[in-house]
Amino acid sequence: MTDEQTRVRFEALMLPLMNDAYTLARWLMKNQEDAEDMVQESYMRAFRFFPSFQGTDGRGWLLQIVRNTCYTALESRKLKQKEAPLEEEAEELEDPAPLPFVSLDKKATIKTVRDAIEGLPADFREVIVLREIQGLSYKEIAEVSGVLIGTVMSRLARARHQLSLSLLERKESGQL
Amino acid sequence: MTCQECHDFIDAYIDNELDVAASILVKQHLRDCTQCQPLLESRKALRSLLSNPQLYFEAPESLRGRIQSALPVAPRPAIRREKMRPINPWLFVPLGLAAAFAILLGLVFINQHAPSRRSFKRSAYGQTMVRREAKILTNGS
Repeated sequence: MTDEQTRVRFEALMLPLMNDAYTLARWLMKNQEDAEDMVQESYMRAFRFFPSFQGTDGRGWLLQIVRNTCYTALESRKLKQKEAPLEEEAEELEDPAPLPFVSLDKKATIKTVRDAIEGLPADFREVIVLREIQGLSYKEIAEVSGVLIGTVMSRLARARHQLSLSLLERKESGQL
Repeated sequence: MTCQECHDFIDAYIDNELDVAASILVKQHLRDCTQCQPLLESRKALRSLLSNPQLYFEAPESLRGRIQSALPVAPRPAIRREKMRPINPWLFVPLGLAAAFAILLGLVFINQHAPSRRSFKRSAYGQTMVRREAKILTNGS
């Protein structure tokens, strides 16, 4: 395959996925400017590694690069220090007490929902976005995030619970 | 199925990530257990809130243009440029000598192995040609 053919193939496979890439970057970085920079950097990385891409799941492959690019940037800026540590969060799942249910009002405004998602720790935000907004399967999420499917399942349960609690608090404070 | 097991599997259940047998167990438990039903309703309400298409972002058109113009023509331009070095002209001297020697060897080989005029005359084709030549000379005289 010539260089020109490689570029044509890359553009045909990867450019249609830009909204998916941007959505994940937008939620992880929490602002438009950083998200655009991360998507551009991710596409440059993806192009560099594209000759070695043999799979058929272009979306998962690209989202994995976007995710890693965002985390590298967040860590270098030390923004992640404010986030809850992932592994400690996972350890807490040993607690046998079932999660209490939260009654939610379906009439929440979009701004309130966005604020609640942005308030989640990065790992919870990531799994919520990949599952609820991007519609990835557990297996696809596991590949993008580099974790086991069981971890995806437990993290998603905790993330949904925390998001429900956050929305309930906003409801009680009159934001919903 | 216990309530704890139901809570453990309810997310995978609503996401259709359970196998058929486990899915049936959760479904039966949720049908019979009034304590777990509110959790299912809570999950459904959350899903309804998160299904809003405004939570999905569309990339700005300017970003697409930026990326396309920033993409290099070839995937590995840096490596390619490193390989394109100017050729040292002194390299042509040994190359020329080697070529001249090869031509010389070829000429010697041809000279030694080319069929001589005597062996040509001894061959059947050669003898035919000699006879034809003699006949032309005889007729001509």
